Amino acid sequence: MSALLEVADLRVEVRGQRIVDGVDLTLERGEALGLAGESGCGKTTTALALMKLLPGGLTQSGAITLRPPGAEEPINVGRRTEAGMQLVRWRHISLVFQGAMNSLDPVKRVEPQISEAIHLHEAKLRPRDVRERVADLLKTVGLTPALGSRYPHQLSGGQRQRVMIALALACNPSLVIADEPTTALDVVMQAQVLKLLERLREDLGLALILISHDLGVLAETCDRIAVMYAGRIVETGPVRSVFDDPQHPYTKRLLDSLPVIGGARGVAVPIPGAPPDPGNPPEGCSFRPRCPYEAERCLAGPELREVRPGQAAACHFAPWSEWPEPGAVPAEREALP
Amino acid sequence: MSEALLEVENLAVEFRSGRNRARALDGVSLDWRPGEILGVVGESGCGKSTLARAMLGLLPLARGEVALGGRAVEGKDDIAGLRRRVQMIFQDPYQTLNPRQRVGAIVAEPLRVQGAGAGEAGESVRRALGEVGLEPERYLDRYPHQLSGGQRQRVAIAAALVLEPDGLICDEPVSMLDASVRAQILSVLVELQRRRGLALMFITHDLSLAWSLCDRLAVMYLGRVVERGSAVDVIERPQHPYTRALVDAVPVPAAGGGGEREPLAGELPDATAIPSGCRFHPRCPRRFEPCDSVDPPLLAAGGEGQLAACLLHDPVAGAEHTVDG
Repeated sequence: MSALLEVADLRVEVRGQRIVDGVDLTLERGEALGLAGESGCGKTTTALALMKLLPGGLTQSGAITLRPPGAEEPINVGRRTEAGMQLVRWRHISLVFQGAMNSLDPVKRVEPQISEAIHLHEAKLRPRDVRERVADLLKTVGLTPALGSRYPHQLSGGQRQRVMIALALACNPSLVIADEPTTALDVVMQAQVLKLLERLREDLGLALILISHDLGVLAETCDRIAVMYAGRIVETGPVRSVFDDPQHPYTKRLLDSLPVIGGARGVAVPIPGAPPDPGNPPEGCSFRPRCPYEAERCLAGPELREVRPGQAAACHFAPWSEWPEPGAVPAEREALP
Repeated sequence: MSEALLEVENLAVEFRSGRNRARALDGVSLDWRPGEILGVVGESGCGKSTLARAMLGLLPLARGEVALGGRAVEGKDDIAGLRRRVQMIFQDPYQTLNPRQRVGAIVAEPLRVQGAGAGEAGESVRRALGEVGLEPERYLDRYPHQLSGGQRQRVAIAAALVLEPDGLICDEPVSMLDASVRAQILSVLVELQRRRGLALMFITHDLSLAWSLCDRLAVMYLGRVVERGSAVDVIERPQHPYTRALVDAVPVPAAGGGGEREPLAGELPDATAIPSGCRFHPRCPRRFEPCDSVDPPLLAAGGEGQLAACLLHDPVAGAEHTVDG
C-alpha cells in the first residue's frame, strides 16, 4: 500500500532565506507523526506549506503527494493552483491552529461556522442533514449539540479547541494537521484534548501530524516523531527509539534540558546559545555552534541517514552508542571517513 | 523554625461585577521561608496569580493578613517596604518592559524611584546585569525589541534585583520560552537563590518545573490551597484527589508517555459559583457521602508537614476510605 502523504525536498524561502530547507516526510494512513522543535525551527511553516497556506512573500518548492483513501488519482498538492487547493483543504487535509479564539469567527455562532464549512464542499446536502451532521460532529468531540448556538466567547478555551477540531473534521478528511493544539490549555484540559485526538484516530482512522514544542505531548500521542532544527529534520524515527535512544546531539540535549517528574531534581543542563539566524546559517551542520561534540568534519554535511532500523539522524557521528561528556569528541570517531 | 519571609493568613480577595461576587481567593494561608524555593501550582483561574498580587498589596483584601518577617503589613509604609524586599517578574517580559526605554534605564528605574544617585545606580545596574548573565557593555543601550525572549526575561530579573530583595515572585517566568532557553533562565534564578539566598516563589501550571526546582509546594484549586507539603511528597505521593489528577495529566517525555489514565472530566467551575462542601467534589473521582456538604480544612496527611483539604484524611469521615483507592 502506498503512503497517504509523501513530501520530498520541501523548501520554503523568504527573501533568499531558507526557513524550511529540504524536508522529506512520509505518513501512512491512520498514522500519527509528531513534529518537534523550538520556535523558529520551521515546523509551523512546514505545516502551512503542506496546505499551501503560506503568507505572501514566502515561496515553496518540492513535491507533496496525497493519496486519500477512495481517490483514484494521487493529488499533487505541490502543483495545485489556489482554486485546486480549495478542493483539497478541509476535504482531505485540515488544520487545527493553536489559538482557537483567533481562528473562529467571533461574531458568528458555532453551528453556522461548522455548517458553512460543510456547505463549501457538499453544497447539495439538505439543511436538515447539515444540522444533523453538525450535531454529530459536536458529539464526536465531546460537546453537547446545544453549544452550537453559542458564540465563541461564551465557550471555555477547551471547548473552543474542541469546536476547532469539529470544524477540522467537518468534511471527513483523512489527514488532520494540529499545530500546538493544546499549548494554550491547562494540563487537565490538555489531557482531555489529547485523549480526544487519540480516540478520533482510532474511530475514524485519521492520520495526524501533531506539531508541538512539548516533547511530552508528542510522546503520548504519536507513533513517529521528526525533530526539526533550523529548517531541517535532524532526527526521525519511532517515538520509542527517539526518546529512549536519541541519535542526534540536539535531540539528546533537548531531552536532557526537560524536567521530568520522578526524574532528577535540580536545574537541567541548558543548551548554550540560540538557534542560528536563517539569514546567516552556519556552514555544515546547523547545530554545530551549540554542539558539545562539534569537530572539523561537521563543517560539511551531514545528511539525514538511517543509523538504526527505522531511525535516521543528520549527524556524522551517529549512531551513538553512548554520549561522552560534553566537549570530549571520541578520537577514534574523528578518524572515520 | 526560622521566621517566615512572608506569611499570609486566611487571605481572601473578591471581585464584584453587578450582582456576582467572584471569590478569587478564598481563605489562603501560606508561609514562604527565607531562601526557600516555594511553588504555587494549579490551573488557570485557580487564584495563584491573584495570591501573588494580594501578597504584594496590589489588590484590596476582603479578609486576612500578610506578615513580612513576622510583622503584620499594615498601611502604606509597610506595603512600600514589602515591595522593596519582595519583587516580582511576569510571564511576558515584553509587556512589562517599557519599549521606549533602553535596558540601562529599565534596570535603573526601581533605584530612581527609590531616589538613588546616578553614580551609585550605574554601579548597581551593571552588577545586576552581570548577575543575570548579560554583559553590561553590550546590553545597556539596547531596546527591548532588540532582545530575544530569554534576554528580555533576564532584563526583567535584573530590574527586580537592583534593590537587592530577599524574595522574588516569578509568575510563569518561562512558560513563553523554548525548552533550551527555559533551562538557561531557570539556572539564572536558581544560581541567585544559591549565591545570595534569594527566596523564590514560582507561580506555575507546570508541575515538571515545580518538581525539579521547588522545596515545597502549595496546590491551589478555586481560590484555596488544597494540598501542601514538600515538593517530592506532594508530587510522588499526592494526598488530595485533585493533585493526583493534576500529576497524572502531565505528559511524560519518554517512550510510551504517561500511560492510559483517564483524564479528569469537566472544567474548573466559575469563582462566582463555588460548589458547596468540598469545592472539588463535583469532579472528584473519590467523593463520598458528606463531601457535598462539608468543606474540609487542611488535614495532616502523608509525609511530614504534608496537608490535604480532603475528607479522606478525616479520622472519622474518611475512616472507611483508603487514600490510594
